Amino acid sequence: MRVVIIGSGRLGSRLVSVFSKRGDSVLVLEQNESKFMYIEDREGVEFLVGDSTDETIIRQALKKPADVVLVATGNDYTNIMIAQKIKIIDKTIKVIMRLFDINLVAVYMELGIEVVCPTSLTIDALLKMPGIA
Amino acid sequence: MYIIIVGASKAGINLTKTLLSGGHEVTLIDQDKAKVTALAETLNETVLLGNGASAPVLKFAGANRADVVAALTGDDATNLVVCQLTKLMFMTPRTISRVSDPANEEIFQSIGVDATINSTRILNYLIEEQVQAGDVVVPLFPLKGGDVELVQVDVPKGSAIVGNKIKDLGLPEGIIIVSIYREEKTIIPKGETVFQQNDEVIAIVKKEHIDKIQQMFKGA
Repeated sequence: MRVVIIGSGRLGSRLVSVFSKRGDSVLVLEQNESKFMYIEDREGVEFLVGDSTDETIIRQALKKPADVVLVATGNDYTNIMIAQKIKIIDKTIKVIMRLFDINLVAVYMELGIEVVCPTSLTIDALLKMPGIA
Repeated sequence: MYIIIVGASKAGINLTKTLLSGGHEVTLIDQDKAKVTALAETLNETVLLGNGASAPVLKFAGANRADVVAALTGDDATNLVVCQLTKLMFMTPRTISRVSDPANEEIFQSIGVDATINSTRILNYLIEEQVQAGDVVVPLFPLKGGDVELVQVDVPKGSAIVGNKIKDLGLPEGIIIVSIYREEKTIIPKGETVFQQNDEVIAIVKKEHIDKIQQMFKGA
């Protein structure tokens, strides 16, 4: 599988490791080159430095057709902008983005972008914990 | 009308004041506490502290009954979310956004933002046109379609049109004198109106007539 990961922060850098270990073909796009340091497993990983909201850079990242794009910069609004720019370039591509703001999740799911929300995942996990459940 | 403005930038503050003095109801939202506190001294409950790209804040501001939402923060991505949220969640009839990076205009249009204001583009446009036009005619804004412009023309000393009535100028079709600003008053002119030195004239002009209006107004 070809995976493109946008943002190499706490989440993105881990995702790169996970998918590259699994044997997937991975490209990671990040504006701040120094953040690539966090990536532990990097065999065969392609690194692209650039502004991920820039359409030209996004196109460059998608040069090899991707099966899935994971949008994981630290800013919800930036993720929303990037995800929609990807959809404009190629509506058929599977895009999953991370959003912290629960209130935004439903809005963008309706627009055909899949969302992972750490806030709601944490709440769900907490409610299942012994002493709370 | 009820207008919500997100982002207490200079543009946001000025727009708020202009709209208030025009009798409109306005809420100005910004998340900078110091800024909001300072503004509240003069604008009172018009200013609201909060993140204008957050649904609960917009709900509190009454986004469901807003006629217009204007996103004027300096961050394009934030502005995009403000417009999209208000359109999709609160069915706002009209959204306007400031766009800093001209490359982002396409996405704003594709998600249905009604109007985008791109200061970079306007500035470039003004500078380009300024150089072409010389001193007399100042282009203010290109109207939709691009071949008609709103321009300001000042009447310089010794201009041949001083003392002339509008109707005697023989203006060609494609030049309309919209208003004259004189001694701190705006005059809506008629055919009988006589030009004076230092008048600031606003006109709608077809591009092909810019040279013509330049010639007519130029000073001695």
